[in-house]
Amino acid sequence: MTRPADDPPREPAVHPPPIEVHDLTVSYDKKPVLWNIDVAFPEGQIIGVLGPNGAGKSTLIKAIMGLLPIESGWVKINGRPLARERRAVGYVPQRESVDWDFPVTVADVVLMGVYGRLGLFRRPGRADREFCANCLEQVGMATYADRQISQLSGGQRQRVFLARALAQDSRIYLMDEPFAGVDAATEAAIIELLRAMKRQGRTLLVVHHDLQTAPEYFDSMLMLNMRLVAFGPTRDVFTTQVLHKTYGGRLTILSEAAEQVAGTRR
Amino acid sequence: MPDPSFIPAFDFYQHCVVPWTLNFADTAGTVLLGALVGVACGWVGSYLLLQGLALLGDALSHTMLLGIVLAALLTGEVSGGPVFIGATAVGLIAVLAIERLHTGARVKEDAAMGIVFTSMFALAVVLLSLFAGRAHLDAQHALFGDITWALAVKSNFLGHEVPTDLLQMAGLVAAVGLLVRLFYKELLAMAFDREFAAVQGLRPQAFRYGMLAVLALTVVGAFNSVGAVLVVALLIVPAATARLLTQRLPGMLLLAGLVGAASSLIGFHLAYWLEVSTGGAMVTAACGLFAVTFLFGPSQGLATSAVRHVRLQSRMSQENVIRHMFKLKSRLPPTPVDRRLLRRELNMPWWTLGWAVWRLAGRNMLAIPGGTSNELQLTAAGEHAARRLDRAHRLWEAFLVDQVGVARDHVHPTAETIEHLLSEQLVERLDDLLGHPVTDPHGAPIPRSVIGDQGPGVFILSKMRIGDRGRVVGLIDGGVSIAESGALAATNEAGVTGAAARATAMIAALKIPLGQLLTVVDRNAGDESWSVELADGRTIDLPHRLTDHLLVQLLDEPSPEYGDVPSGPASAAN
Ligand SMILES: Nc1ncnc2c1ncn2[C@@H]1O[C@H](COP(=O)(O)OP(=O)(O)OP(=O)(O)O)[C@@H](O)[C@H]1O
Ligand SMILES: [Mg+2]
Repeated sequence: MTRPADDPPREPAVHPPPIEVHDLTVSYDKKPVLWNIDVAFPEGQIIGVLGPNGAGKSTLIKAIMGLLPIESGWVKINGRPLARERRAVGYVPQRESVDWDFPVTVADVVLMGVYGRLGLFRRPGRADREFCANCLEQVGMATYADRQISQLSGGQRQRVFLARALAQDSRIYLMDEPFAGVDAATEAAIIELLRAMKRQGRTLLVVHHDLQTAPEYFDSMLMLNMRLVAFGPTRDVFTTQVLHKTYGGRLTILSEAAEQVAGTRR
Repeated sequence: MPDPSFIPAFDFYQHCVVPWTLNFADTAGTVLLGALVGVACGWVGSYLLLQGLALLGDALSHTMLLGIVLAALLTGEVSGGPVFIGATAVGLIAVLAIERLHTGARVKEDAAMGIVFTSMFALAVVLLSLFAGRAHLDAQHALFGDITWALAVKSNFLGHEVPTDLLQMAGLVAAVGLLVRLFYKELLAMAFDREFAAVQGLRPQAFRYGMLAVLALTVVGAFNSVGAVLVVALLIVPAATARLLTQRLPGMLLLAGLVGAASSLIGFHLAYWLEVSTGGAMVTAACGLFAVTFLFGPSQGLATSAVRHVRLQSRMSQENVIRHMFKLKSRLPPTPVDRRLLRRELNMPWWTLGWAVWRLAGRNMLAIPGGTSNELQLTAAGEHAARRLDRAHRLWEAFLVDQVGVARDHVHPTAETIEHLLSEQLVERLDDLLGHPVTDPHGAPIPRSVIGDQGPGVFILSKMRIGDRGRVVGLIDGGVSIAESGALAATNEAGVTGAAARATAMIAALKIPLGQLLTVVDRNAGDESWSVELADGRTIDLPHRLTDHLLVQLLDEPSPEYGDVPSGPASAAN
């Protein structure tokens, strides 16, 4: 240790929350789509992100991952800026986000999950391959390892993305609609997997659309509609009143305001 | 200039051998330079293509002309450092301008490319014509290149006079190869899923700019030999050809390089033969290779799949003929069948029937006894094949009705197709799944299996038909023969497991010795048992789980393929 003993410790003694979002505003083309989001997610939970289409759920996920420029506010992972905590965060993007005709096999895609911790110049070794084979096994896709990815069904593609995220071996996961377009059996298998991840103490932020299953799946919920409508334990948040506020009625004011903001800035 | 109306006759010796013997150094230099350009373009182009950036390659190669022209006007040189720097700089400016227009001003990406590259290209052309001569550069060369001219500029390399372009391209290919090897995973992650790569800290944006810089270098390197327009084709065509041939990225890179190099070799001889520009001929060769792959490629080739289709159609019509003749046997006296009757009942065009009959006769499945080809008769081999088809057809119908729940009158058409496609193993598995039915849903008999379970003519008892006679030859458990000699009663020992062990015990209790002759009297649908009559006149009931394990050598087996089987009156096929 070269640091003098009297230097104050950089990190606070209390365990910082896995994800902390402070006064976050995100815009596309100067038009804000997320307004002043303030939230700190608790550790070791499966947290649902709910809201109507266009509410900004994907935008929030991407902003936390540093994939979008932030208009104002900040995001901290484990109390530190994202750039220093990349290994801590795993990502399951929406299925349509890649070209499924790409000339790689299922095993190749899953292997990409370990690229992040290899560093420049190092190639994945045998241990990495075995680890990835195990991840494929966990999502029940071991027999598909050598398939070209264009030959997979939608649900199988979703599983491959999950296996790739498992290969990242992160403490925190952000998942954008992992249940979109999968059958009941696959959905059950996926939620089982997520619960197993939670039991290992991981934190999962999951964008979800089905209100039927949401209270059963999530420990906490974030209700989003361009702004944060509510956040808290499921039993407090999943109420008719909150749902009405999130999904029904008077949102047009915000979108109109956004249009006008965009207009004045141009 | 060659007379355009005159294409010289191709002479292999004159056009493919002479250039190498006459002037080896120049020929080798030209082909090598072209090949290096082809390899570099193939590799860079593969990454462009996979990211849907083929158009960007096009745009950049055009804009870089501006950089080259500016550098050439300022320094008076058309190759070397300043040109590289100028072109790369202009290329990157163009990329930034395109992205700026796209994200900032919300111009669609393709439109943004169009605007940027045409304006910069136009500026370059204007400058070119204004200052032509000042920099030994004219539009013709700039757009289409000239390999001979490119080879003329030499520089000193380890004491030898070597064409500068050759040195540059060799260095570039080595550099690109090294970069692809070193940054394979970063490039793959960037190309496949840029956001995921960013999340993992793999810096896809930096690699994207790096890739575009390499693209710029490649275009500049190829500029003298093939020009700013033709280089686009070399970026896209070899990569697209390789993509048709492989499903893996390493294979694609390898093949794209090979196609690029081969285009140079073929293109050179094409140019020599037709006395045309080498660059143009090289691109033509690349396009030719693409066309050949597109038509004859192993998995997707149009011609390949057409051939496959015709083959399947031919096989299906042949199989339809023999199966129909097999069915006619139960209706008509066992005389040769009239070809016109077949045509009418099968509703087949005469040429299809003619082809099928010709092929079947060649395969020894049909005999034409009278020699006039109007009278047809199934041979033993033909009947054997027909029974196999009939069995597949009827078992499939039974499967659809029993297990899938399709209505009885709906199953025939699909079975008509599927009978040609089911494998022997699958048919037997269907049979097993259905409990070895003897009639199909329409009540017609299902022929007995034509393949033995354990050698010719040897079946498990479950597969026999009422009236069949056979001799017990052993026990079988999942394809493993348990006992083939000695008394069956003695086989119940360690190593014989589960169902087979119980079967062994039962056989011992029933006192069925090896070699016992038996005749199937009945199948009882209710408890799925088989009634068999033994040689001594006793009739006993054998449960299904036992008959599945009891191996019986069929007597009176009609198929001639099992020549060693004693044949009885049923062998009417001959
Ligand atoms: N690339 C973009 N450029 C401009 N506007 C965008 C872009 N992506 C999203 N938007 C806008 O931002 C808003 C939020 O989009 P976002 O994709 O985050 O919604 P979402 O909650 O994920 O919706 P969904 O349930 O449909 O996935 C929408 O109004 C959308 O029109
Ligand atoms: Mg979304």
